[in-house]
Amino acid sequence: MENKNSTNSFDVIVVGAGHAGIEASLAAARMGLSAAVITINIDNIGQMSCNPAIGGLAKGHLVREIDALGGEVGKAIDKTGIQFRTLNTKKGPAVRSSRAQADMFKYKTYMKTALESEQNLTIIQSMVDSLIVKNAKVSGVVLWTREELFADAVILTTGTFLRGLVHIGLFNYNAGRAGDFASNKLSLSLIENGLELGRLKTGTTPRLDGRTIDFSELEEQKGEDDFIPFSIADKRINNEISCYITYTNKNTHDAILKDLDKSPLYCGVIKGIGPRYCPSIEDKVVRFKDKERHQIFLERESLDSVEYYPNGLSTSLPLDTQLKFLRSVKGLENVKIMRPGYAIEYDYVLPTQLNRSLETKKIEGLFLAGQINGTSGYEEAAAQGIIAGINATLKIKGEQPLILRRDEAYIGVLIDDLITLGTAEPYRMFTSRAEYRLLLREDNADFRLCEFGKKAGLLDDERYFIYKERLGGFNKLISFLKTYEKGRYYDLLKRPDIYLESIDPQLNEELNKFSKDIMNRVELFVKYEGYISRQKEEINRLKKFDDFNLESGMDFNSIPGLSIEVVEKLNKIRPKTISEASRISGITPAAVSILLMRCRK
Amino acid sequence: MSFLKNEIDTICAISSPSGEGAISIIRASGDDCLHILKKIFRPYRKDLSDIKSRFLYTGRIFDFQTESFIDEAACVFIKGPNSYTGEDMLEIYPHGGVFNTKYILEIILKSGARLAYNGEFTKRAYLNNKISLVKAEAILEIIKANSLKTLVIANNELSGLLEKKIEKIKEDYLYMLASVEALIDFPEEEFENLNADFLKKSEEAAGLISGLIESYENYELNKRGFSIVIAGAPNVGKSSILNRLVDKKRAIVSDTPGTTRDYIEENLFLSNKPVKIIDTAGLRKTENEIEYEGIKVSYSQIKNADVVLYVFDVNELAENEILKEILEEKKENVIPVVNKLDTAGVKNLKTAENKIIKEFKFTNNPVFISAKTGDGFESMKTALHDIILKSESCVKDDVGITTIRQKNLLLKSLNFLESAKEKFKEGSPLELVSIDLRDGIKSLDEIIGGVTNEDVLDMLFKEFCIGK
Ligand SMILES: Cc1cc2nc3c(=O)[nH]c(=O)nc-3n(C[C@H](O)[C@H](O)[C@H](O)COP(=O)(O)OP(=O)(O)OC[C@H]3O[C@@H](n4cnc5c(N)ncnc54)[C@H](O)[C@@H]3O)c2cc1C
Ligand SMILES: Nc1nc2c(ncn2[C@@H]2O[C@H](COP(=O)(O)OP(=O)(O)OP(=O)(O)O)[C@@H](O)[C@H]2O)c(=O)[nH]1
Ligand SMILES: [Mg+2]
Repeated sequence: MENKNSTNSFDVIVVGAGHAGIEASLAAARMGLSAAVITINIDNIGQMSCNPAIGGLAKGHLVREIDALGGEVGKAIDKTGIQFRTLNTKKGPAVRSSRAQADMFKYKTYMKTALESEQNLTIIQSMVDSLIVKNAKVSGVVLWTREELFADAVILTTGTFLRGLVHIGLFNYNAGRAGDFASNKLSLSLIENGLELGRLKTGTTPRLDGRTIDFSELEEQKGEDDFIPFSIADKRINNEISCYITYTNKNTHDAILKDLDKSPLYCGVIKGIGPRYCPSIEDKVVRFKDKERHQIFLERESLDSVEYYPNGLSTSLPLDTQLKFLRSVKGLENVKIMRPGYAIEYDYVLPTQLNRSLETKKIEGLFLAGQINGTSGYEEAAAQGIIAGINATLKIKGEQPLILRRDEAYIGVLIDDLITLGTAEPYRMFTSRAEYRLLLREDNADFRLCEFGKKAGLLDDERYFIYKERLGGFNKLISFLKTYEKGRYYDLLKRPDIYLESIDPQLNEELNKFSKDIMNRVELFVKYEGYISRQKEEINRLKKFDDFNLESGMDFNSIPGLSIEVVEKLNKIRPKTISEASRISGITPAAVSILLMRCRK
Repeated sequence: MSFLKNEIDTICAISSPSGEGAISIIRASGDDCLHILKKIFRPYRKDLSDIKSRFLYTGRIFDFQTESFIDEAACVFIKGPNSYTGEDMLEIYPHGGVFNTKYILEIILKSGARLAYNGEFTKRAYLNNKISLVKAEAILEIIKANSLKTLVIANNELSGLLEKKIEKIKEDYLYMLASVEALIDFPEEEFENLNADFLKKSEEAAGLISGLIESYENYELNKRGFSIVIAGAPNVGKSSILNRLVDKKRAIVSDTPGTTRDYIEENLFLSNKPVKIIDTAGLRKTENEIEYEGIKVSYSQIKNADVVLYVFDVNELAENEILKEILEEKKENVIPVVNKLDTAGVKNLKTAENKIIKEFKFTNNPVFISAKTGDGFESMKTALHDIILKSESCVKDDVGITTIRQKNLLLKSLNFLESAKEKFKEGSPLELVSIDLRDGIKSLDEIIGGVTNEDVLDMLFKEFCIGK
């Protein structure tokens, strides 16, 4: 780590200051390295390219996990959010998720300030055109102005910018997103260094002028004031606004279908694959013909702006069609569009080329995080960012990487899915991707991950002590219930309709010592203990297979009995253990037994 | 994991039935096959240096230790993975003697192969991904099949019809799971008819699973061969009936009541089906210890019987407690047989029939026979035939399960399914419903192959309009 004081040499270079880049560079700097973050436009640090919101189903989980590791996103949204809600309150504890609408300008400012407060972090406005790689090891980057910057590790978090192509109807242009330059050269450098790229597509909605929306007839949705802040460190949030609900109708659908021939998607102009879970409105209308209406949430982008985001109306139809169908919707009869909806195509790196640490297998020291790995969403990006930042740092320090398992965190599920399954569409987290959903709740993110954050050297003392205090309270209440009157109340609590608050007035004095939060956690723990231990048993059963290592140089072609498809998949992904192999799509149980025969423990 | 080591050995076994025949078959599978062949076999025409897969070579087998000539034989080498087991394979066809065949096996064992366990060739075919577990089981069932019915069921299993049926169940499951996941992961979407569809699919899946579970009993019944128990009071002529049915003096017949003590079992074909006929000790109260034991055995035989021929002496039609029990349990599977027709007048027959139907409450009409003359045996066989046919037609379509393993997994799956349905109806947390559904699918998977999270999402996006 010598000679890192010069202006062109760092421990770590992070390329990109989107949601992944922010967490990555903060992690490296806070863990004590000299880090540089290079981004095309400093004014757009932490820009929300799409929906002005953080959290949502499974994404809320990710935010709390990032916070427990020592990340920034939770604190940022607590301070700059303008409406907070818990989704799925009626469904069950494991799938409750937090979501907040952000004031997107305040959010950006908050993040820029966060980067600027790190002494070890150099912030550079520039474009990276290529990597410097020697002997399969990265040593720096070349800027578009030809300067070279050096580092032991480089983290690429370039989002949708690699050869980004924006489509509005049949018109298209190069851009990283509307209003930003595309990064046109970096892809070539990645290909030259042996990485395989693919092409994806995503889209966004038009932004509407709030002064031309008639909210009077629309359904209003308010925030919740007893919302539990995302960050362990925060005590309160402020709800400032409501959002509004309206619907498409037959006229909307007719207007869309009439102009389908002007949609780049349906004319075959767009080649990249879009996300199925976030289809454009034209997709929805075509694929689900019988559905009479689609829901739209109107969400304000900032207190300092009149722009509204009509959630549910992503489209790449021509501007005049966008206006036509919008005006058929109740409340939008006179609406004006401030920015058109559009689709964007971009390059991504097939994530099966990554190690669990998010370092590429081919190029030592090169880490990738965020949308460049085929994911979509700020939270998914931030989650990878923090892991890449931590692991690049640990590598430079000569320590073991931080690897979270599928039963430990959604982050573990995310990374495991990416590296073992790869993805052919933009990957978004869902709770259904996590087989140990009952263990991976939002409420216990701190219990699950704070120790990892502490051990990595990232989690600050403030958050760590609050966590410790909570853990102490939790254990105390559990052991009180287990012992008091021979555990009678513990057993009682297992019943679905019994809660601590009303269990017995006689207990109130004892229970008053504990916060509502701790009581909630204890209730959940007791009620679902049976299921939780069922899941834990399964984990232990599968863990055995983690110990079966496949030799790194194993020649899968030479193993008799493996089908060609299986061999191809194995060669591509090169699983390290039997359990990794077993999760690869298309690897049959029979193939797993054959591999078992060949592996060493 | 010591069994793993076994699985890379080369295995061999005599594949033809034991005993003398025209020709024997010795099979081997594994990497060493070619090496072994070269060591023990010298072809007449070419040498083995450029041996072709799947070609028949004739030549001589030698004991490489003593250099002695053992037998003339034909051989085929089959290069993996295009073989039954997916490995290199070898088949040798020597003359069908017992000694020479065993000797050749010994030589192969001495050249480095080891004796295969039961079913190991098929197991390897499964491990090498040549066949699914269900198919492996089907092959074993085909080998064991003992009637057209069992053969058809096993063949349908082999050809993938059973897997298809299980896939269908899995699809229902997947639909339910996707519904639950849609509700969980897209809480702000509007889904139409989702509850009703969920319940419909769960009924459908439960029906299919139960159908398969039931199919097992029928299959077992078919496989076991039909069992026909001859029961009745002492001295009514049960043993005589058996003797006539099998056409030999198999059981001792005498006019001393209580002659038969232990049960006597014989196999024969009735309407092209293998059946077992069991003669039992006459049922009565007794002080004799040996006879008492015999009567106890009779009870258990009757309990396990598919059909009971309940025999009366035409001259003394008597009912007792035991008969009532038998009728209670076996109902339409008890045929009243009135014996010693040669000693009775016409009038007796009418009263006998009345008594049997009205008083004793048999559901089947009596058949009148004489074990002495053979009269009435054809109508007795027709009555048996009808019952056999009826039992076969219970296996509605010929797709069914064939092993207890499959049955247990289906039962497990059904339990999870019921629990998921209950929870869904009660409004329990959906993630718990999801856990039950996933466990239900896992049990099915153990029968065939896996479902991934990706499959669930595929279904979700295919079936539900989602988009935020
Ligand atoms: C049109 C559109 C629609 C979207 N729709 C959705 C959606 O529906 N749902 C959803 O969840 N997500 C959506 N997103 C995705 C979401 O915006 C991203 O997933 C998230 O921002 C990714 O974060 P990131 O950090 O990986 O990249 P980004 O936030 O894109 O940030 C990339 C950063 O890298 C910098 N950069 C790029 N190339 C270079 C270079 N060569 N040199 C220097 N700096 C560089 C950029 O300046 C930028 O700061 C959409 C994005 C777009 C553009
Ligand atoms: N006339 C006549 N005698 C018969 C007939 N069937 C059996 N018998 C005689 O009836 C007597 C008893 O016959 P078994 O066959 O030993 O009777 P069982 O029912 O086996 O008697 P247990 O073994 O003692 O219970 C013997 O003497 C037989 O010869 C028949 O159809 N006609
Ligand atoms: Mg007898």
